[in-house]
Amino acid sequence: MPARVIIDPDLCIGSAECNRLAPEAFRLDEDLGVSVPLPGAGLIDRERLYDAEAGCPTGAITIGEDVDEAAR
Amino acid sequence: MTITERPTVVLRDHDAIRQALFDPNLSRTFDSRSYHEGNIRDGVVSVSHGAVHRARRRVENSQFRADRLRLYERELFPALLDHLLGVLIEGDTADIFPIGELLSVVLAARRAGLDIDDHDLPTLRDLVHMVDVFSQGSAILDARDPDAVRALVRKTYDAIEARYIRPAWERRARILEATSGGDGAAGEELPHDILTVLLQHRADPALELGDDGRIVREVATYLQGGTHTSAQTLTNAIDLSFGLTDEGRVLIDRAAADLAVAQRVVHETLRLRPTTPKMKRRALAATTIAGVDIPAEALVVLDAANANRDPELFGPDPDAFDPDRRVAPGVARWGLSFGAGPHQCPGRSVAGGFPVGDDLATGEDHLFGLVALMFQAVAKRGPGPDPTRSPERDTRTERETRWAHYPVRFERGASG
Repeated sequence: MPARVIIDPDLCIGSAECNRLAPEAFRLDEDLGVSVPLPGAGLIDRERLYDAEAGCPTGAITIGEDVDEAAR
Repeated sequence: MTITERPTVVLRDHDAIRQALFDPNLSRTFDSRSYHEGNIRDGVVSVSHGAVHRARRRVENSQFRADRLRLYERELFPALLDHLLGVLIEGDTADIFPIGELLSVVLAARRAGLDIDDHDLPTLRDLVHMVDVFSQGSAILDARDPDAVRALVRKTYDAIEARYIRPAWERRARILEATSGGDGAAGEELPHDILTVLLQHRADPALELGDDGRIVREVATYLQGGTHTSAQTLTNAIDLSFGLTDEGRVLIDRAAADLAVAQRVVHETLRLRPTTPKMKRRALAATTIAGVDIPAEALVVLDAANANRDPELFGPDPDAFDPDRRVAPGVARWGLSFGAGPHQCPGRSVAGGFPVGDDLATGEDHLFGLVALMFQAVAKRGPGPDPTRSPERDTRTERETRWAHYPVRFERGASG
């Protein structure tokens, strides 16, 4: 089952650690200075997503079980 | 309530400290004598909190992207290292700490936004002197004579503004004005640095940069942070390696041949000798960390130096200097020395490179960090203790990991 990938934009400080750890799942929006999940982010290797979640310096990323197709 | 009157809570456990570093109720602002308005660090990113801190970091973090760091580490810094070490090391002895400062200040100045000639030693020495003053200011809570430090820091802000920041500011302002007037070519001249992005985004009220002094202090903060810690870490890495005597010589030779070993030396040095051994926070509201109740207005001391020696995480001999040690999965080899949470050191990847996993593997995109490059460049010259001169600690601070002088003797020339 795909993962639900959420970034809290109020917590993100644009360190781009998630982009470094899982570039297929996250990109940095340079205009906003925050990271956003890419389409299909929930489909990549779960361990990489957990690495990004753990590596985020502000705890802005949450990886959970997907229950909503639109959130993938 | 001053900092000395507050109830104090000390956290020593790795996970509790990490939790505290993420807790929005714990702030880096302290009392009116140290960090509030009118004071020497007023409004700088490292002591701001909440929304303004996040807004500032979002803008400033753009200067710490991996592509930029690769440019520094793979192109700019190696050439600079070769040149400056060739000039700075005369004969077979040298004082490592000031050399580390001079090497570090070049890229720190470039990243901060000062337009300097990388090869102009009098300018570099002038900047290092300023960094030394700002470092005393950043450690004001441990200063032996805080009032004297405050006066010196204020005077030095005036000097750095007049000599370096204003000329750089005016140049960038001209380019920004031309760019906004439709001159697309002018935009290509715009430097990539902290001063530039602050000026570009200054109108955003979330950044709270209306006061010119805040921009001066912010640029000075990045100059200081990018210089002092790297030079101290280089010196501590040399000191810890020398402490291993014969094994240390083998380690230095391995680091000379393998940048990954040099990086592990740096990470292990940071673990044992964090630049800020005890981080401090103020509780804006009552909170609970790892089961410990913290009242509002309490001073919270985060003993990173202790947490970095937890045998559960760093093995059965955590006090030993062992760059090849295995650490618990998910734990950084440098422990908590770069902090964590929103205030995690923005220059972590510049100085320390990317984290190294439990398998010690480093891929093609891996960055080793500028301190590892410096350590390797010194290691290639075969350094050993100078039998005629002893190292001297910086006695102006109570932090025992700060050096003023560290003489070494080299066995080999620049070719290694």
